[in-house]
Amino acid sequence: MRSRKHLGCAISMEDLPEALLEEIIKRLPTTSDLNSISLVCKRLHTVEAELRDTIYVGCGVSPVTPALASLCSRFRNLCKMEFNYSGWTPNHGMQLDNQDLHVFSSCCLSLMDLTLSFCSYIDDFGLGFLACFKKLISLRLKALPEITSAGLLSVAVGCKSLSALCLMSCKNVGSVEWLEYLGKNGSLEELVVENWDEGPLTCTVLESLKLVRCIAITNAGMRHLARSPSLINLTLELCDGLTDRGVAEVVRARKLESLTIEKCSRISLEAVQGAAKTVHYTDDCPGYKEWANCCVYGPDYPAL
Amino acid sequence: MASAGSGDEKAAAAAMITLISSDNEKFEVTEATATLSQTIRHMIEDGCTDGGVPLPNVTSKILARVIEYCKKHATAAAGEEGSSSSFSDAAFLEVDRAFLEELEEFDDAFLEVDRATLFDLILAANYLDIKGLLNLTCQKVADSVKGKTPEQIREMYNIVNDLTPEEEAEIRRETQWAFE
Repeated sequence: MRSRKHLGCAISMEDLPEALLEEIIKRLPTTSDLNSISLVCKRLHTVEAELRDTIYVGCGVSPVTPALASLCSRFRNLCKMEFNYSGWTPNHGMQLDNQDLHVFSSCCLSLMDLTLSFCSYIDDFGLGFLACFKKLISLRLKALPEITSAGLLSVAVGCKSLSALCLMSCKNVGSVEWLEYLGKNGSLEELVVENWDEGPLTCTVLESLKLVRCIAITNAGMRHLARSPSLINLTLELCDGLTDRGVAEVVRARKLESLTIEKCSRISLEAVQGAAKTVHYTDDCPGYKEWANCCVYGPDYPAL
Repeated sequence: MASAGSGDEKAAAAAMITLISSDNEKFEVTEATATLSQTIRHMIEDGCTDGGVPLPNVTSKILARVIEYCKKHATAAAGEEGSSSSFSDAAFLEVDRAFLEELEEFDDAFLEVDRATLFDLILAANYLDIKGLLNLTCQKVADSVKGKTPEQIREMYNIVNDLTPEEEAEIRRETQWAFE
C-alpha cells in the first residue's frame, strides 16, 4: 500500500513512469547520490542499475570473484570499468587476479573500456583473457609490474576491436613485437605510451606515436625511433630526457610529416623548425591537447 | 524575403489555438506559445486543431501553469530572434544576457511549487513534449535528492521501502566499493 493513498490523491515520485525516473536519475551528479537512490526502494534500484554504465573498483573488494559476478548481474549495461589499486596494502584484502579477470570477462560482455591500474597480481596470463571482451575498444594499463611484451602481444592478437591503447609505467614491457602486430593487423588508431623506459623502440608499421612523460627516453632512443620506416606523426610531451640533439635524430625519419613537441623543457623552438613538414611546438597552452590529437591522428591515418 | 518572413510571423502570432483541459476548461493561446509543445506542433501540422485541442491527461490547474511557462519562453525566443538582426554584436550580447537572466529568474520562481504539482508538471511536460520544461522540472527533483540519505529521500517523497533487509544489505555491500 502506497503511503500517498493515506494523504489524498496527490501524485508522488512512484507514479512516474520509468522513463521519467531515468530522466531524474540521469541528472544526479555523483556516485554517492546514485548509491543513495538505489537504496530507496526496489523500483528506483532497478531503474538506477539499468542506467549505470561506469564503475570504478578500488582497494577493499574482497573476495573479488563473487563480487564481480554479482556486479555484472546487477549492472547489465556496464561498458566502462576501472580497477585501481593505488595505495593498496595487504590489509585491504585480495586484489584482482588473473582468475577474477577470467570470470569477469565471461560475465561482462558489454564492456568497451577497461582500465587496470596498480594491479600487481595481473600478469601476461591474465592479459590473455582480455580477448574475451569482444567489444573492447579502449584499454589503459597503468603500473602493472608483472606484464611483459608477450602479454601485450596476446592483447594485440586477441582484441580485434581495440582502437586505443594507453600504456603507462609498465616496467617490464621491452620489445615492441606487439606493437608491430597491432600496426600490421590491428585497428589501433591511438597509442599513448607514458613513462617508457628506453628500449629498442622501432616499429616497421607504426604511423602515429605519442610519447608522454617518457623521461627515460634519451637522444639515443630517438635514433632508434627515426629508423621506424612508416612513422608519419610523432608527438613528444613532457619528455625531459630529450634535447635539441634528439630532435636532430628524429629529423632523419624518412616519412615524418608531423612533429609535435609539447612541454619538453630542453627542446628549443629553433631546433624543431623545419624538422618535419608540419611542426607544432608549445611550452604550455590550454586546450592544446585536443588540437594536437587532431594533428597527430589526422585524416590519412590508419591508411596504408 | 525579410518582409515575407515577418508577415508569416505576424500571421502565426495572430493564429489562436484552443486547449481543453481534462476538466473541460478552455485556454486560448497563440500558436507561437502552443508550439513549444512538440505534441501540439504536430497536431497543428496535421491540421487537427479545429474546435480545440483536448488534453485529457492535463488538469486545468496544471495546464494553466504550463501555458504560463510556454508564454514566457515563447516571448523570450521571439525577442532573441528579433534582437539578432537589429543590434550590434555588443548590444546583442547585452540584450541576450538580460533575457537569459530574466528567464532564469522566471524559471526559479516557476519551480516554487509543492512536490505533487512538480510531478504533475513533469508528467504534463512529458505528455506535451516540452523539452525545456521537462529538463527544468526533472533537474529540480534531482537537485532536491542531491546529498540526501536513502531515508531522507523516502521521507521527502513518501516512498515506502520495499527492499528486504537482505536485499538492502547486499546493495550496500556492492555500493561500498563500486564507488564511481
